[in-house]
Amino acid sequence: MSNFRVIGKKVKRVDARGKVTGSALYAADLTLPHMLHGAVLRSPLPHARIRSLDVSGALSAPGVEAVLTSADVPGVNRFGVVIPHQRVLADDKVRFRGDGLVLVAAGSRREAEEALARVRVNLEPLGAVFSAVEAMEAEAPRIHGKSNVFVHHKVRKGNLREGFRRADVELKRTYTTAFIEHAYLEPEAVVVQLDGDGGILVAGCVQNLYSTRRSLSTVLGLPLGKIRIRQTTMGGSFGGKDEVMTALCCRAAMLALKTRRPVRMVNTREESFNESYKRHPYVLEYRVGAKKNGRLTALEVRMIANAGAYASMTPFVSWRSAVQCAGPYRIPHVRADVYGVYTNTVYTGAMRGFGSPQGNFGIESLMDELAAELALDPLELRIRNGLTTQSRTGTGQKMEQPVALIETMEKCARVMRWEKRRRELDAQPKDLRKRRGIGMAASYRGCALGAEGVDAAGAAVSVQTDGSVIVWSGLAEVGQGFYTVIAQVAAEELGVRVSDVTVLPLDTSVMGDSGPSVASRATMMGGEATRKAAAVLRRRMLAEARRTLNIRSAPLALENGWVISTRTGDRRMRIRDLAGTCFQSGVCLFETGWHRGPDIHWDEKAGKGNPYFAYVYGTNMAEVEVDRETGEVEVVAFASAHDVGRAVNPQGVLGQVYGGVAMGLGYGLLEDVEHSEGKLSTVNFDEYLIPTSLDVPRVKAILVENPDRHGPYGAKSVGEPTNEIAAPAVVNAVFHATGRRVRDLPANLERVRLGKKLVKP
Amino acid sequence: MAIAKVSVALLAKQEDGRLSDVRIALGAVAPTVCGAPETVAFLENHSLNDRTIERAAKIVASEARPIADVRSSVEYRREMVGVLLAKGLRDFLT
Repeated sequence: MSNFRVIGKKVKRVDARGKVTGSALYAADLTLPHMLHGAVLRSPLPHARIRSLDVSGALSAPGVEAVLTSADVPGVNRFGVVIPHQRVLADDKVRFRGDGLVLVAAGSRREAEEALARVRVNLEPLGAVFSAVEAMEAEAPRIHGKSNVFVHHKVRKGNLREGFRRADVELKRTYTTAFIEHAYLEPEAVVVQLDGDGGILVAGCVQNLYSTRRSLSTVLGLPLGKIRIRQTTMGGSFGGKDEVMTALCCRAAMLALKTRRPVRMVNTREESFNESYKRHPYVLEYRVGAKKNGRLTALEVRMIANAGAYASMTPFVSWRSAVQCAGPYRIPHVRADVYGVYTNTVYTGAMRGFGSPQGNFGIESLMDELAAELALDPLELRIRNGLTTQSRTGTGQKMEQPVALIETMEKCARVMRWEKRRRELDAQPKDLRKRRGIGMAASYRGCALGAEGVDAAGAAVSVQTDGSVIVWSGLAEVGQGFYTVIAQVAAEELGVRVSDVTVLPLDTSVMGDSGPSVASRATMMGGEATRKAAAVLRRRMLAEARRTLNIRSAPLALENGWVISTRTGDRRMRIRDLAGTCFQSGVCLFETGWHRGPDIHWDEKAGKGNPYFAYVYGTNMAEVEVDRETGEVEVVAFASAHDVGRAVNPQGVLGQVYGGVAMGLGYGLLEDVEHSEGKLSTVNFDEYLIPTSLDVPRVKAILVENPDRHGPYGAKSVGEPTNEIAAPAVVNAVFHATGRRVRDLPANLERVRLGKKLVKP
Repeated sequence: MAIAKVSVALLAKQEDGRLSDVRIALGAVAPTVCGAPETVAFLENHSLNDRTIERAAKIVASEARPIADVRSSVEYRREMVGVLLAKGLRDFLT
């Protein structure tokens, strides 16, 4: 595909300069005249009925301008995308220690905090439950309604009994994963001010602006048109700035409406840890059957996801876990039951991977254990069972598009010299203090929202009279490099340089609701919408060029700032002059594009169907050195191969791979949001350890381009796939090194050395 | 910020395969940094070899009074006091 000029070329991020020099403005940097500072009092108990809140002390505290409780919510005190039951401020009960109770606006943050310290909270403690397994029991305390089990997704394929009857070996295993913090660099922050006739203007690090706007509308009782959200520079999100930002925006908006002054609210790191939702801890139970030659015959899966106090994205997160439960393998008989369960812990929701890091740790550990059981090479076992074009997934979907799974495995194996290293490391003396091992994991992943909902997104492109270009998108830059991608798309279509294109920050009052920037869908959906808009403008400009130049039939193109004759390559006219001519001729150079994904079908009742319209494939391989005395695991080599469809900006894709692997290593080896009866003991980075640059090895990124017809120029997804298999690859390598299988994440020093979990104080 | 799960400091003079003036400090296994007098007494009276290193590791592990907290467990910390001391002592052998 050498005929692209901009697509597929390494491009510097359009937002790099501001971020590197510090000139980029984050929400916490914003200051407005007469601005007040908001703070919230959170629940001291994990589960309690609210008897009374005495705020009189806070009202008389110095500098205080407003003190609000749930009684002051102007509209309906409920939000939540799937199940709208979250409260801006708790009304009947508190359900976890992060629930907000009282809001204060004051002249300074300190004054606001001092006022909150004077609030007297009268709570009636209720029985609480913190483990999802215990919360499923009939006598467990109820957190919402009748049952704590509020999600049950099924997958049913073939006949499980028949599958196990044909198996030569059968393995039963249980794995668990931990609560994980997104650990974005920038904690949640927002500034809300009144805007014109009864409306509000919200500026903050909001990830999913349209869903936050819907919640603001419900909570404040304002029409959507009166609520304008402008996204500020995002200091990271990873799926984490959705509901927690909605709560913050609603609270700041309530204070701004009450005081008629701008209000800023910024979470401290500790507040962010305590209130923001996490990645779900899962219990994963498997039973797998296989022939002696390794061919899989049956898989039975039961997953239990701890949702914490609120539904948040659990119904969708656990749905992805269900439909991808069989991994990238051809298994004729599959049965899965996936449950989402309320507890009184911090709630859990979207985080990079969205249900796949848990399931992939399970299935990829299981494949490794099966390979050991059958004395087969783990790579060979996976190749024998791997999805291929025209084969069927765990939900029975026929793979009509080319499947690049085995290509990613083989390319990784070549770079890591898999077979040779396996042999060499197998031959290490048994009593070495430090032993090495090499392990792998593979995955397939549905692109975009899938059967969660209709998938559509918009963009607008406008060519200025000097040939420069402005792009608006309905999807957000969340740090993933999306604005650079759409700048490239516009530049490619319009024959200009990336530096001629300006992408404006998402503003809900400008662009149509394009859904959230999640599910690694932005490039695919928003990129294609941008391409459609820009392509219309290109055709319109070429028509005008033909008229001005009086050329009837000779093909023309826009390239490198010029209108050129495609046959001869002659430069006929500058694009900037053409843009001016269009203006004078009254030709509209503003265009919108809309991209709607193809229909997909999932039968939730029957537990089968085609959950996604496109898939990506990936393989990770890790070589580790384990200090058998201390349990320390050093990752000494790593390869990560991904089918990305088309790498629109290879530089950006590499960034995704490096960052995704680094996060995945934290998931595998270090990270664990710990709590005792719902009270977090890891609330900052002295206790919650994430990988530093010293912990991350040189990652060999391998990009496989297997274009899909639905994305721009064939582009698919990359943000999440890079984060979903590093953990099992490393843990499988630890097994190869030590012979010890870690079935609970993280594989920290204690587990690797002693084979068991930390004893809690 | 990095806070150790366990730390061990070892200072000694070595002459003719024997250690003298042995000082050991253990971190994060007691409310404050502490010494290991029994281990020191043992090391001062024995020549250094694989067997005595193993023995010293056991003594120091039994001397430590670690707690469980967010950073580690009692069991791991106790093991590691021995492992780290042995690592230090082995440096004297090489």
